[in-house]
Formats: sequence, structure tokens, C-alpha cells
Amino acid sequence: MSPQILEWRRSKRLNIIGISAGYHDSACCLLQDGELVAAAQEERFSRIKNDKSFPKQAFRYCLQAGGLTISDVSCVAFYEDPTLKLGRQVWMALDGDTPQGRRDAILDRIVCPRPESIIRRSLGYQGRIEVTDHHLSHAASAYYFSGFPDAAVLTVDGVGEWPTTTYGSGRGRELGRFEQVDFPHSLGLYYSAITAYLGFEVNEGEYKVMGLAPYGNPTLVDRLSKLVQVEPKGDYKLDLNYFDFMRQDRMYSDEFIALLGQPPRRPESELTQFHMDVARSAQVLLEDVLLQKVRYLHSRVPSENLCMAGGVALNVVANSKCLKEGPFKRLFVQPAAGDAGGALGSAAIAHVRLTEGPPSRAKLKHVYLGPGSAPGEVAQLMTSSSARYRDFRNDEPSLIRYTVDRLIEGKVIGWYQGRMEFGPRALGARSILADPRNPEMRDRINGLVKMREAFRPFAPAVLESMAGEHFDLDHASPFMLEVCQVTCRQPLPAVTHVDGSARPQTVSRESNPRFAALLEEFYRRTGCPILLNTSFNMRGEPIVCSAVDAVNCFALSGIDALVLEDFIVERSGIPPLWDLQARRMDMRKQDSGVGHLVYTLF
Amino acid sequence: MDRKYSCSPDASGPLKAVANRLARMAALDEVANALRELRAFGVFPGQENGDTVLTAGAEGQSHSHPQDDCRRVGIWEKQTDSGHFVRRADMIEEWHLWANAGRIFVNRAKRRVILIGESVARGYLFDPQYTPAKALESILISQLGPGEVEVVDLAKTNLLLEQMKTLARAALRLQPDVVVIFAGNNWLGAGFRSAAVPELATAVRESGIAGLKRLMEANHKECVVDAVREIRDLYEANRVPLVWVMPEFNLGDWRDPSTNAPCLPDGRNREWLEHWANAREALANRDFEWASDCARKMVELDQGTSATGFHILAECSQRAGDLERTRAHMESARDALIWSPFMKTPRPYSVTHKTLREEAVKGGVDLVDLPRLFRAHTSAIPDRRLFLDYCHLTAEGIQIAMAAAASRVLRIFTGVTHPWHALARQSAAPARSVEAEAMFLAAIHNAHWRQPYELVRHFCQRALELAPDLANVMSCLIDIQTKRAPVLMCKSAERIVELPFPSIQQYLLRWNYRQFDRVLLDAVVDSLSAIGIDQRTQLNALRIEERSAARYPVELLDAYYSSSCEQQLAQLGVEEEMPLANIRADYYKAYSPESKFVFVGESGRALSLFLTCRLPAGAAENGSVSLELNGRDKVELSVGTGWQSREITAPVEAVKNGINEIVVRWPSPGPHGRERLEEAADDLLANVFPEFYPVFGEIHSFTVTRQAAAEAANA
Repeated sequence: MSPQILEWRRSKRLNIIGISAGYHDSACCLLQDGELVAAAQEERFSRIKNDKSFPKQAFRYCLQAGGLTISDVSCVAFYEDPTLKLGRQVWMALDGDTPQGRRDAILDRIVCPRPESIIRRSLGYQGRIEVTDHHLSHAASAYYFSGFPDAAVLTVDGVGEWPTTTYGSGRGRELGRFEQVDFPHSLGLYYSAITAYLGFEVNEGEYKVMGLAPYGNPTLVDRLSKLVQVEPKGDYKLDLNYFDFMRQDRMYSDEFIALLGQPPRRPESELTQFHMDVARSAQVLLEDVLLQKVRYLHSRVPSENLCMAGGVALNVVANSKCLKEGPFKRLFVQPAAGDAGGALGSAAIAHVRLTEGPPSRAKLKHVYLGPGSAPGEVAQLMTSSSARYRDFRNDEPSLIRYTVDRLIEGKVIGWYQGRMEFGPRALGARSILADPRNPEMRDRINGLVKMREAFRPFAPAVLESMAGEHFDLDHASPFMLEVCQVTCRQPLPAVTHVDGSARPQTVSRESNPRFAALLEEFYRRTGCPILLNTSFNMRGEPIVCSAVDAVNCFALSGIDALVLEDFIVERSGIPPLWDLQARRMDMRKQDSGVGHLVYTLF
Repeated sequence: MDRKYSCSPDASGPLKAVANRLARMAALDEVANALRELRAFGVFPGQENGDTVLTAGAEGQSHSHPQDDCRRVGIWEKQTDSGHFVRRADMIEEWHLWANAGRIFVNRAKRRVILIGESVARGYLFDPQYTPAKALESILISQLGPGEVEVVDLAKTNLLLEQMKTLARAALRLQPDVVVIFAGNNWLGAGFRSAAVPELATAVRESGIAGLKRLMEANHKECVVDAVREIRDLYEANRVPLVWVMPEFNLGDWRDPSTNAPCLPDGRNREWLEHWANAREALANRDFEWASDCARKMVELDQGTSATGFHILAECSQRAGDLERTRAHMESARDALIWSPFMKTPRPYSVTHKTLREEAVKGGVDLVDLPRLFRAHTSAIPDRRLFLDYCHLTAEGIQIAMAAAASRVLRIFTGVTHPWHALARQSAAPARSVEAEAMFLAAIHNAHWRQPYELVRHFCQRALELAPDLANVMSCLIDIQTKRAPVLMCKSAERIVELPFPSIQQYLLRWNYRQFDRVLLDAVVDSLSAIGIDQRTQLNALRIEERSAARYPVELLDAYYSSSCEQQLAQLGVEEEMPLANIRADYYKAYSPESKFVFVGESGRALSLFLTCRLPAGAAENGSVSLELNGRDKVELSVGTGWQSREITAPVEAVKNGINEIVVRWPSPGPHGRERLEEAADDLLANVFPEFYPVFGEIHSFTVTRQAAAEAANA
């Protein structure tokens, strides 16, 4: 019998690839007939934190996850309009005082290849390309995955093309906006300026400002109010005399420093009460402005549902305040609310354009959309080395019991299971787990792995069925995007913030059966259905993606045990060369995709 | 609010409309192209005129050298208290590229000779156990006495031209009595870095790749002249004698990949390919006259921009016993790719040699001319006797080079001329086990640079002759190169750590990139077999267990597999130091009429091949692509310029147990004419990686997996 050519069974589905790239957090996703099938950030493959380069590896992953070849792709959607964005950048250069370096950067943008060109030349794609508006991509990434039949939609970020904030609504397949605030007036840039002033990295450190805030007092709100002037309707303005991002490679101006009365904090230096007060005041101001604008939005779109997206929507404290004190009954924030999530929104918009119908209207139930290990891969990894491991294949209950034993002993566990999460949070697929009742656990994990600032709390994972008994939470919150008060009678020092709040992830059997089983067993043994859950990565690294990444992180860190699918390796079982392997990977050249001191405007 | 801005920052103002309109215009291709050219010519303020150089790496990252720091010499920094130079802890990731010396003393008791150089001066593959610096020092001590002289080793693997200049300046801080520079191999990218993009684009547009080659040679010469004069003048001003050891290349054994010619004007690539096919046929029939004739025509057509014709001419001359002509052709082959941004091995070009000689004649540089020295020493074309690979030396090569350098140094110190051949006998030699390690590492290195089986086998055999215990390492290599787990997560890697071969540990475990290594593992297995150790069975079984496509889906474009195909251009990638690295295709491009792939099959298991391919843009519609499995089973596919995916079944009878080969044959692309070169020039200006070679076909994915349908039918 000779080789034969068979009829290629082309995918009959509508396969849309969404891409975000170029400024920070490149990502790719696949919608198949409107259903979200795969999504991943490029940084997880390249191991370059916040990788902004074109997501080639994520693209190939999405094809593979969908069982597709490039010829099966119906459409590629790109998450922002480069011409509109260029207009905003050119406008910045028209200011007579713009330094030459900035002008050169703008010329760079004009002469560099356009995204469509890169999609064709680099990815090799030949078919239809849809370019979608940046904020519309944000809006779509939330609305079309919310499960709401209708909703008000608010997007807030640093800047996309021109808009920095948009107000819109969705009903059925229709999604539109009726008002926007344009650059340079931006709540995102305001918060980033505070971030930079407090000595944290822009686009990375905003979360830290939010975490620092509860330690401070709102004594500087009046002063900070000069930075942001609330205008009627949806409008607001920054007083640009306090900001320097228009011209300099610095977010804040000398006037800003004079207003606050102290010099900017040097990175890694001690945090004082003043810094905490700045953080608190900045947070209060952000919340106040957002709440006003949320109320305005409701006056225009009197839905019960609110969708939020854009980088500022990752400020879970502000979100929670908007929900609790605002007029909306329900809030949905898509877990990858930053630019990576633009890939989802862009793909959803393309779906609407191609089909004139909405993508799948089911609410996004989980974000386990990244790659998992191939069958047999982990087993092969274990047997290839001289690692001492325990094999729990076909015996999940024993795996769970063993893991819980270690947790109760106070061990820190690296937990690698199934498909990787999409978005910035680890949600029980690529997690580090520990006993939240242990008062030393926060410092221990910081010392072993995270080396983060001591003020930052870790987050809890809790069984969804029991969440209401331990947190002031009356609904499922599977993505760690809400803050609520801890009501648990048992002290949970490792996951409770100084103001008694926490940012829980509710876990159900439906979304993550093994993680739920772990929580159930922990509850059965301790009476506590909660675990500390933080992301599986060393400081400065992306969250682990593959099993080898997990092994490398385990070897380099001080984590006590690694649960790798059905296998468990204790620290004592690590062969000597695993450490060398991890260090070798660690020493690879790494470039940050994001400017450290200033927002990536170019 | 006070407005300190001279233009209104109000985004609702008229400037916003202006900006948006300008952006729409700039988005038009014609406008963007015009702006690119204007910028490249330095028309816009803020750009140095004509000096815009594209930067390598993703997203325009620049590779600049640190400013001279008066406290630093390489990785060593001067301590304030003692004045000694100590290795910097924050540069630990670079330590392995330099001498393993924690401290350089500021000690004037002895005469101080400083050795600066590239990997050849490091004694690559011998380092750290045996180095040129140690050889040089042993010779000098033998003549001057112990305690009288020291050699400070500042050689660095991967030292580039600009780094060499910096190091030469810094070396003066160590107060040398003589400086020996052993460098000239790593100046590959110098021509590109100094050339303005418009110059490159113009050269391509007007004169094709031959024009680009001439430009690169001219720029290269300029860079060499600048570097040598700068260092010479500096050393003369500081009254430090300078000895320059000019490196040689392994002309006899090293073969650059035989590739297609780059895009030729007037569509002459087809003619070139016909001559190449004829030349191969002639060689197979041992008709060397005809082969020479064909090769001459190839060189005439490609104007010396491909090594392929020169290699054929060299082979023919060699068979005719014409040593001089053979050498000339080999040198031309070595020089052919000076224009190419694709990765190639370090080497000194003819222009490098010529320029160094010319500058030496002007005084101030005492030149050790290794090409002439080796020629006189062996009366033959330099080969594996003196070279471990393309430019790194064997122990004998090191001893000769350092003896010659020592001769110059001794003349400077004593005024007496010692013949180098007498001094060579005084040189330290490596221990047998050290030499054995170097031989084995050379086998690996040669294999990874696609050298022929015979050369790889030679080094494997030599290694075993010198140290039979290396058989254990070779067995481990088979395992770590075949296993799927990362190298350092294999038990065999742990065994290697326990064996007494430190150089192998350093190179294999630090720098080894896992590949299918078909040639290397065959050479290893055959060499072991020759001493009675059967590893063939183990290798075959391991390949099936770990790599069988029937067990694990295989993507043939994955670097592990495609490294064993013959698409050297695509595999070797682009020099890190080269510009033009932006916007490269993330799929396979065939630069030859045939693309070869390998995979591991298993007897009794049918497979499916899933191929997604297309012809390049501009190709005729419905070209016929043939796919041949193991030299006998063949299918023909009709392929156009759009991606098409096919499943090709490989029944049980067609699949071999072990290595299977696929050859994809592409239709001949249409005549390119000038338009391909124009496109390449445009791409250069657009900071997009240009296609300098004709593309025959493109593959987006090529996977092999077990054939589910056949298994279901048989169930």
C-alpha cells in the first residue's frame, strides 16, 4: 500500500484569532463559533515578563489548542487601531516643547512596520484582518463574556488610541459607546503617576499602591483633588501642570512634588506613613471619581448590570466600592482586564462583524485557557531524572490527602494542574498554596519565593459553597476581582489585609474539580475551607507555564513540595542538577517589555 | 489653570484634527516609505547623518558596549584598598567566557605580558584546563626563568571588535610590558554595523548581492584599519610593544553549508541551479573537468556570493593535485558569505588578512602571520591537524601559535631572536585526558555546525584513542540528546557530572543545545562499535521509546528535528550582532529546491503526515510539490500561493523502524529579475528582514502522528 493524500478536513467552524501586542502584555486567543477555546499571554512562553513582542508562540498554541492549521483561521482581529493611535502620538509631538527624543520615538512609530504587515509577514496569515478600537476591545472583552443580556459598560485605562475612559452599553449583540474622555486626561495615568511617585514600576506597581492604601489615612485627598477635576457628565480633567508624561520620561512634574511636599520615594527604600497616606488618599480619590462616573453611567444606562474593563478595572478595591455603593446590582470584570484581554474583546467584535450575532452568551466561568501538559509528559519528566517522587496516577484521593497533610504541617506547595490560567491571577492551575491560618506564612512565602513588600497580603481560595460563611460575599467570585471583609471566625492572618479585607477566589467542582477536592479535604481535616493561593512564580518572572517551568521555579525557590499533575516531589527529592537547570534558565537574557519609570506611550 | 504649554494640550482643539490627518497620511505605504528613506538619509534632526544603523533583536533593542570605566578591565574591577583587580560578582554570568582568575594583582615584580583575544585565544574546547596563555607562559618561563615573567590572560570567548578595542585600552591599567593580541575571527558583523542602511539598500538595488558583498568588504576593511590604528597609536603613545597574532582558518576541512545562490539579477538563478545539478552529477561520475566547468559558470553567475561553486572547484583542484589553486578556491569559499546576515562561524577573511598585513608593514605592530606560518610548517593546506573546527586550534596549533608569539616577546625583552620551532618544544602540552575531551567536544561542535560525518567520526575516534574512558561520556550523550526531558533533568547528565571530565561538563551541561544529532550520534555509535561497545541497539530503542511519532506527535519544524535536515540557512538563524533581525517569518522557508526532514517511526505503526504549505508569493498557481518518504514512496500535491493543508497517510509498509526521511521537492520559482532585489532593498529601509535568497516554498506546520484511522480499522 502506498502513501495517499486524504481530503483535508478543513475546520467548518468560524475560527477567529484575537491578538494584542506592541505596548505591553501581548496575548493571543481563539474563538471557535463564538466560544472561547484558548488564550495565553506571550510572556508565559517567552519567559520575558510583560513581553510585548508579537505573540508568535501564543499564536501557535491557539492553533494547536483548536486543532487548527493556519488555513483554518477565518479572521485575525487586532485589538487597536494603529492609525488612530499614531494620531494621538503625532499630536504629542506637535507640542513645541516636546523633546527631540520623543519626536524620534514618534518617527519610529511612523516608520516601523504596521501590525497588519507583521501579521502577514511574521505569522504568515493571508486572510481577513479586522482592526478594532482599543477601548471597544476592552468593552467587548467584558460585555460579551459577562453572560448579561444587557449591561452598562465602563472602560478605564492609561490610554489606548485617544480615549482613556469610555461609557457605553450593550444589549444582545450590540455594543457601543456614547461618551469618552480623551488623552491626556486619564485616571489610569493619574494612578500611574502616584505609582511612580511612590517608587513602584508603572504598569506593574499599581497593584502595590492599592495594597498599601489600607495602611494609610486619607489626609491628602484634598491636595490630590487638585490633580483631577471632575467635570459634568462623564468628563474629568487632569491638571496637566502636575504631570510630565506629555514631555518627559517621568510621570509627575515638579509641581506635583511640591504639592505633596516630599520628594519621590526611591525604589526599594523604606515605606513611611507618608507614603501610605499618599496611597490611601490616591485610592480614595480614584474611588470617589469612579463612583461618581458609575452613577452617571447608570443615569444614562439604567441596567442592573455593569461591565468594567481596562487596566484600572484591575483595581479590585475600587470595583468593589462601585458595586457596593453604586447603583448597579451586578458587576462583571473580565479577569484579563488589561491589554492582554484586548485580544478577547477584539476577537468578539470580529465575530459580531462576521456573523452579525454575538459570540457565546454564556458567562465566562473559568479562565483555564492556556496550555497543559501532554499526556505522559510529566511521567516522563519524573522517570528521566533521579528525582525521588510519589506517583499518584489513578489515585487522586491519595494525592489530595498527601497534599493536605503537607499543608497542615505548614508546608508551602507548588501546585501545577491542568491548563494554565489566562490573565494575571493564578486560580488553582499554576498556584502556590499554603495554610492561611498560619501567622508566619506570609513572611515565609515572601522569603522563599516572592520577595515582595511585606505589606502586600496574599489572597485566599475558598470553596464556593462555603464562601458566604467566611467572607462578606453573597455570590460566586471565581477570578479574585472583588474585595470583601473577612468574616471567618478563625483568624486567617496570611490572607487578611490590615483593614480586615481579602480578595477571595471562590472555587467550585464545576470549574476546577481537583482544586475543589483539595479545599474540601482541607476543610474536612481542619474545619477551614480556605487556602492561601498566590501565583506560581519567582519575583520578576512570569507565572510558570509548562511542567519544566514549574520544576525550575520549584528548584530555585524554597517551596517545600511540588505537586505536578499526579506526581509529588518533596524538596529533599530534588536531584542536584535541577538547581543548575533552573539557574541556567534564570540567567537567560531577559528584557522587560515595559518601561519602568514611565507609561508606555510609544 | 496656568498653561505652561506653548501649544494647547486640549485634545479637542484643532491640533487633534491635524494630528489625525497626518497619521492617516503616514499610514499610507508610499508616505511611510518616503519617511523611512528620508530618515535613513539623516534628513530629520536628531539623527546623525547617514549613520542610522538597524539594531538587532526583538523590538529594536540596541547592543551597545559600556562606556570605558577607568576601574574596570573586562570582568575585573580595581579594588580601592588593595589596588588589585577582582572579578565582579555581578558579572558572574560572563565569568565562563574569560580566564578562571579571581584576581589580577598589581604586581611589578615580574615582566608582564598580557594576552588579549577571542575564543581562539581562550583555547576554546581546551579551556580552562589548557589555554594559549598557559602555553605562552610556559615558553617564556623556559627562557627567562621562573619568577621572571607572567602572562595575564584577558582572552574572552565571543569578544567582538568594539569590545576588543575597549579591552585593549583597559589593559594598559594593568601596566603591561608587552601586549599580545590574538584576534581577527569575530569581526563578522563589523561591516554591517558601520554601514548606513541607505548604503546597503543602494548597493542591493544597483548591484545586487555582489554589490552588497563589495560594500561589506570595504566596510570591513575600514573597521579593521580603524581598530588596528587606534590600538597601535595608543600603545605607541604608552610605549607598550604590541604583538598581533593573525588567526588562520581551517581551509582544509571546514565546509560552509552548500546553499543555493542568493537572488541573482536577470533571473539567472535557474541557470545557476542547472549548473549545480550538472556539477553534482559530474562529481558522482568522477568527471572533474566537467564539474570544474560547471562550477566556474556558477561562480561567474553568482559573482562569488556563494561558497558552493568554490567548494566544487576546490575539490576538483585537489584531485588534480594543484595545491595553490585548491587553497585559493577554499579561501574564496570562506570569503563568499561576508555579505550574509545569516549566522556563520567566526573566521578571518582575506580582506582581514590583507589589511592586517598592510597595517603591520606601517610599523608599530609586530605581526605573527599564522596563515604563512602554518603553511610553512605543514606544507599543506591547514586542516584537522591544526584545527579542532573552523578556527579553534588543536594542541599543536596552539603550541605553534604561542611559540611564534613568544619568539616576538623574547626578542622585545632580550633583543635575541629565538626560532619559534625551537620554542614550540618548550611549550606546555595538555594532558591526554584534556586533549581527549577537546577532541570529543570538537566532534560535537563540528556536528552541530553540519560538518560531514567523516570529520565528526575522526574526532570521536581520536577522543577514544586518547582516553578510552570517554566511552562512558559518549553513552551518556546518546541518552541526553535523545531523551525528551531537559538535558539537566536526565540521569545521564548526573552521571556526566560524576565523571572526571571537567571541560565536557562545562560545555555539555552549560552550553549544549539538544538536537536530533543524527550525524553525531551515528559517529559516536560507530566509534564505540569500533572498540567493541555496542550502543546502536540502545540508541535505536531509545529513539523509539522517546521520539517515535507513533507515540508522540512530532512537529518536524521544531528545531530539534529540523536541525538534522539540510536547511542550514533557516536553521542557523541570524547573527545576534547583526542588524536586520526584525520581523522574521515564524514559519519555514525553503531556500533550496529540496527540503529534507527526519522523524522516528516504529514498525507496525502507520502514521499520518499533516502538511500545511504554500508556494511563495508571485509563484505560478498550481505548482506541483512532491513528497517522498524513504526514497521510494512518493505523492504529488498541487499547491498554490495560499496555505493548504493535507493529510498524507504513511501505511505500515512505508514506515521504517527508526529514522525515516522525507524529501519535499518544490517547483522551480519563476525568474526573479530585479524585482526581488528591489523588494530586499525596500525591506532593508523598512527595518524588515530582507529575503536575499529565492524562496521555493513555505511550510507553516508539518506534523507526524499515529494514524488513528488505520488503528481504528485494525481494532
